[in-house]
Amino acid sequence: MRSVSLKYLLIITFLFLFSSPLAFAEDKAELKIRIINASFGEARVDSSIRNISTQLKGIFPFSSYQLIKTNILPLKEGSTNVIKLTESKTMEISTLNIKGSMIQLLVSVINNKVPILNTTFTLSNKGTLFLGGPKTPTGTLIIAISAE
Amino acid sequence: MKKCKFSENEILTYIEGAGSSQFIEHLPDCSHCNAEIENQKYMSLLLNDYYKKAADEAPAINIWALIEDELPEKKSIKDTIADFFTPLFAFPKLRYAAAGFGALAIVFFAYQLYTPPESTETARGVEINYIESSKAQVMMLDPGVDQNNTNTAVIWIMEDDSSNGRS
Repeated sequence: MRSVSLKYLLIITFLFLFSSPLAFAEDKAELKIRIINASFGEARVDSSIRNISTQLKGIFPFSSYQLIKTNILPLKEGSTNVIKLTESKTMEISTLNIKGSMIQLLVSVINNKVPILNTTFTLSNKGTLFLGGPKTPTGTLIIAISAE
Repeated sequence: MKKCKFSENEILTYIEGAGSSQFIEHLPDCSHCNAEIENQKYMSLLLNDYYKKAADEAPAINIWALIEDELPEKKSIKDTIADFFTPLFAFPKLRYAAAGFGALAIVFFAYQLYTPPESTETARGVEINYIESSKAQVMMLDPGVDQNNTNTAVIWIMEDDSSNGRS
């Protein structure tokens, strides 16, 4: 009887050992950078950013939000990516740390090779940081940074 | 007994019920053929009796049983698993070590599965850890938690209007 229960204990352990790596492998996340042009023109929100439109309208005074481009970056600790914002401005985004659903990022905005902003922040469980202000010929840039 | 002109085949054909009319017409006057017919019928009875007895006495052959005897022994899944693990329990020390290892592994994976991630108070949100700007004015906004229970944060880079359209 005792030997039988020990057998079952060992079998359950083996099942745990072989099933858990698969479960962790499914937990893939990526960084989503949406670059939006906001303006005071005709009230209009791009259909592709409807899921954050409530947040945008709640925070900012603009009436129109047009998605310029979306960058999907793989979440890899230590990786750095450069995204062009305007003719003179670029954004460098580095993944500093990934711990469970918490992702720590370093973002630098560079204007004509001069850094004008350095910030580190932690996104957790699908949170979004809005970085805005750079002017465009037709409005203002808002960059939505989220991990999904 | 006078030998008849009809052959033995003709006699056998008659016994089987297909004798020719010529053969049937000559039978009342032919003692040879009548005797042969009686002989053949008697032989036939003897043979039938022999084969019937032989069939009754012979043991029934179960072909599937013969095939099954040649097949490798089939094992249930339970027996297969038991055969794999049983040697591990042959020695008492190994048995206790296996039990200890199993218990530790279960505790470890249960902890991994059921322990919530750290800092759950900032779940579904964003927390700014550090911000620095020497070349531009930067404003940080904290709109708080919205109706979707999401905590967002905003960093706004102030630009003067003179750079509008040329940035």
